[in-house]
Amino acid sequence: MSSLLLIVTFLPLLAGLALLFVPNKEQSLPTVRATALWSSVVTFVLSLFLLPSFQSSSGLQFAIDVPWIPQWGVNFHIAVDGISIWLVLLNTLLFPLAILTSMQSVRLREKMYYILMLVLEAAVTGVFLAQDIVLFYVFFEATLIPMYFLIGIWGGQKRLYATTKFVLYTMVGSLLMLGAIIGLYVKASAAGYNTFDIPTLTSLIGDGSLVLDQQFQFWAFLAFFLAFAIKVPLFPLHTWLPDAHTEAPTAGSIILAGVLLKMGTYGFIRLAIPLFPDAPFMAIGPAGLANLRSIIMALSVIGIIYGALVAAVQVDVKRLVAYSSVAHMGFIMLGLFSFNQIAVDGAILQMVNHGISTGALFMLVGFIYERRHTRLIDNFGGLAAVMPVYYTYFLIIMLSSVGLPALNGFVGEFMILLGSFQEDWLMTLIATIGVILAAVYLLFMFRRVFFGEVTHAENRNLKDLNMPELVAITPLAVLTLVIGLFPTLFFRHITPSSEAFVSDVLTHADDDFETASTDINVEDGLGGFVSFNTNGGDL
Amino acid sequence: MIDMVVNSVWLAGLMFAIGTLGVMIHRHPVIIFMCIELMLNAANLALVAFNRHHFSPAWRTMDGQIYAFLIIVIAAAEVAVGLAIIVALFKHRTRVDIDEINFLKR
Amino acid sequence: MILALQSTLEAGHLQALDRSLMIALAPVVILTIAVLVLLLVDYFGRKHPGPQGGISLQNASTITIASTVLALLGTLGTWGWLNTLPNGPSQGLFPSMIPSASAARWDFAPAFVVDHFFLFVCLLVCVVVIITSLNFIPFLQRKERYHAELFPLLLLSAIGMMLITGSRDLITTFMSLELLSLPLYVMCGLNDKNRLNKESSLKYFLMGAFASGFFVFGAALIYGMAGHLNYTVIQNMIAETAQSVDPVMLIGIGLVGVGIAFKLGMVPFHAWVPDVYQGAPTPVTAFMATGVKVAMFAAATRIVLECLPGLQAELWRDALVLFACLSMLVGNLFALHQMSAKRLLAFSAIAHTGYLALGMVSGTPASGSAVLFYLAGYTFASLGAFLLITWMAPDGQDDVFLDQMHELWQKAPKAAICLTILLLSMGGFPLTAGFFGKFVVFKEAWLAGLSSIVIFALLNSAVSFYYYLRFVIAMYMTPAVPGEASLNPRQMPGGYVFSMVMTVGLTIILGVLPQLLLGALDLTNLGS
Repeated sequence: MSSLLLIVTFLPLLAGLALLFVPNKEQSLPTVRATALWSSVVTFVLSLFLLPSFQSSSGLQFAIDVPWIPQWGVNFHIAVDGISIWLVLLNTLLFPLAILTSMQSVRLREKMYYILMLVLEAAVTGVFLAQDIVLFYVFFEATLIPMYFLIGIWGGQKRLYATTKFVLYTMVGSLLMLGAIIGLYVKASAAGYNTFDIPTLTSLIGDGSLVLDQQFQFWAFLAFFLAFAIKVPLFPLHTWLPDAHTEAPTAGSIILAGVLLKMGTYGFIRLAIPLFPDAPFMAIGPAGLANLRSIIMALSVIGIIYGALVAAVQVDVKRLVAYSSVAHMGFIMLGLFSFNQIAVDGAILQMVNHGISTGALFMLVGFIYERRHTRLIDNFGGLAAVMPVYYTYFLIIMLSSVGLPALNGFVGEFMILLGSFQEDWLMTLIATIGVILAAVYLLFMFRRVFFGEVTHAENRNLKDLNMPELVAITPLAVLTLVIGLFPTLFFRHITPSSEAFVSDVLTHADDDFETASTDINVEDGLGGFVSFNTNGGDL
Repeated sequence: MIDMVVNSVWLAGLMFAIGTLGVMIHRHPVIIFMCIELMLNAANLALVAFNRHHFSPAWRTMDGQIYAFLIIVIAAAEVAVGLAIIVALFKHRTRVDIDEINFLKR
Repeated sequence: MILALQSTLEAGHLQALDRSLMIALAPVVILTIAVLVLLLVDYFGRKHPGPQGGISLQNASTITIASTVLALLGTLGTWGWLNTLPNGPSQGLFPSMIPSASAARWDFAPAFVVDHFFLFVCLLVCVVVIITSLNFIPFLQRKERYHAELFPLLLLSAIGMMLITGSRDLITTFMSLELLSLPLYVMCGLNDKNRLNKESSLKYFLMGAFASGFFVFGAALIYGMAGHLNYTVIQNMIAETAQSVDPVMLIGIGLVGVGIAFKLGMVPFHAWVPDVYQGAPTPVTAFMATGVKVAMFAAATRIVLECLPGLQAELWRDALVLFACLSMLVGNLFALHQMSAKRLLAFSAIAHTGYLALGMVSGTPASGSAVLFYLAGYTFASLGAFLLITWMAPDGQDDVFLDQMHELWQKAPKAAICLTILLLSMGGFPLTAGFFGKFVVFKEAWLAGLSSIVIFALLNSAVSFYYYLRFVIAMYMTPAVPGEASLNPRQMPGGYVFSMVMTVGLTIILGVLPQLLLGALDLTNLGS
């Protein structure tokens, strides 16, 4: 059973490598497409087999742990827990759908396109499964190159600018994270723990066997924070996202919004917070007014409002969806950093929800773009009468994104707001305005695209969704309903894992609160600008 | 005797400084090359002078002088290579000025 | 080698002159014999004195490659043989003869050591020579003239590279330095019709000779203070006067450092690098960028770890760190907008000098092996990249400009993928040798307390991705404009294919399974 994870991770990669040997000719294109589609479908089916035998109470499962670089204690350790299992399933689900969508739209250098998609799938799965920091880093970086090519070769007009910006932003963050990883390794091996193993390090740090000094924790957390916050993206590090989304091909956008952004939030849960549990509670600022956690929550809330406001003025549907992503990811970050059980559960579910609904929105925008080669809202109008099926699907997905009860978005956002209200009522209140704004800009856009008269002659004869498109969008639409109506199916696995995460953090928060009087002065690097004390803040 | 050593080393230092300065100031490759030779000879002088200082009758150490000989040999080899390169450039142009040798920057 | 013998002779250690010396110096001995064979065959092969006749390109390259493969095998043999020595594998061959600080005189302190550090560099140099020679054959076939002395010069320079790594005496270091440099000056001016070649040759020569001047005068001052140029003696001398090292000694060390920094192309002594790299024939540039860098860094690391550990003054360390940072910054910033591939790689080489210097300056026990790992990764990536440039260069132009590479991916997909992998390795992307190279070097630097510099270096390598990705953008993402001069790559000769497979293969193997090399490198730690 444990080899299942290995197969799920590497089957797409092997299929991609096999495609390298297919001759680059016109008549071999059906083989290429079929290989890409079916290998990703098989991967999804295989990953479904994880569910029946998953024990929700027993933490990391299906583990494979073999030495990789014994000299440094690097292991090839992959395993799945109640959080990552859903992200892996989301990933393996979105990829066949994205590949199916691409078959309609991609007509250029198809072989390389599908190879890159399959390699990307393997890398993303690896990120969610890796239980070793170096392995995580390798997979985390490995997602970058396929996405770089996907945007750069198959993207729109300004693709070179967008893709270079995407790579450089991500690279700066992840190289800083590499610095923190090196530092952590030096500290850990000085203390006698020659390992990069995430569960081992987390438990060593959690139970106090490995003590990292406050200053190191602060800076290392900041480095991890930057890497993941750029990925999420958290305001004000989000500027690469609208460009990348707008220029990326449809499938690229689906994957980028659906799973790549989740690597950031997942990184916080898996690495940044458990490894440096004291850091979010360190007070900074002259009087110790704020701590990192409240700053991050504030940034999330700013992101929610900012993303919604900017989305409201967009004229391009895809750019609108991209900015709505900034707002939605803000909700997830708010939920995570409230460190409240309900909110964290909601945030993890919302990660899946956002992957489904935003992925589906990008897919739908891609469908219309294929037909009209424009995405400007002004060029549409009255589509409800012309494309009734398309209209129905768009309605469901849009409402899910708005957060209508009985659809998935509601469950996640409601739980996030409910939980974080107990921690910080003011920020939650502001965030709630974001929910309303989301309804405003999405419904406004929806009205302009679908209702009213058909103003453009080209729109009169648009064909409704065809079979492959229906096959691609239906699973996502069904899932929005399933999650919305039966969220407990998902929480059954999420809650035990997230409980461990939350209780671990809260132990440290309490410790910090008890030793609130111990001030730590930072001598070098910061001067008098920042002074630490371990005041627990609100907790 | 110490005075003589010290004076020689000062002289060597002066030669070295003149050589270095010459390399930086002059534009003609042959003169630059002669300045480099001056730097090498400054080292030779210093080595021989220091050998005098370190000489011990019991061990008959001649290290410094041997080093000086080795450096003279190397310098001769450098002359052979260097002049050949400069001559090869002369074949192309009648005037050789280091500022005009900038095809790579065009 | 002669110096090793000479200093052993001086010491009266005639018993060391037995067969074991020949085994220990196997790579050097084999290559020396090959040089003699090449020269003799060339001389007796001529019917008339003069430029006509002589050894053919085919024969010369065959002899060169065969002897280098032999030297490679010999190095591997010596590597195993060294492990069987009674004084243990970590000791190397000669250090047991070094007298302790209390011994009265230093005369018999040996000038040369055969240890795993030396042998590892020999291995790298052999690989560089083999791939460079393979690179030379089609390159020379395209030119109308071939000079028979090219391959002997290549081998002589390689011998210098090997010897400088094992040398433990500043005068031996200087002799080896000249042995590796003088042939290179000539090789740069390989084509006496090409003005760029000659300009490159002259600049390299003048800069090299200038650097020698600094090195020698510094060595003379050190001799004046320490009484000898042996590393052990210098180290003992520094250790004895730990708190108050004589200023003349410090000046001497500084001048030697300047000489080495010139050769390494470290900022602020880097001005010659871009011109020389761009102007030299591309195979020579490949040889220079990899071989010289490997040898000079190995020699510099040995000096840092075996001469300077007792030096209390933090000044030299701070200065080196400053130079390292400047190298990264200047190299990366100037590389950003270069259009010539060779010039771009030259500036990236300056940046790599900075990263390597960071590993060297850390001075931790494992920093020597860390530098070697980085060098190995850099060597393969750089060799492969220059090789591809040689192959792609259009007729009558010994360089490739980025805007000529448009749509290369369509015309030569395999070459484009190989170049992408090699460039990613230079940038330090995971799953390539460059990543673990950076990882080890930065780990050692962090251990030495240079954590903020490590962060600076990491940010620099983020910048470097910008210009490495410019190649990728040119090759994959920019459509060729009709009428624009773009590359029309030739058929790739067999030797290139082999070299490509070697460099790319080793880059990936070291990136996926670095432990293959790490185990061996554990033996190469220097210092006490």
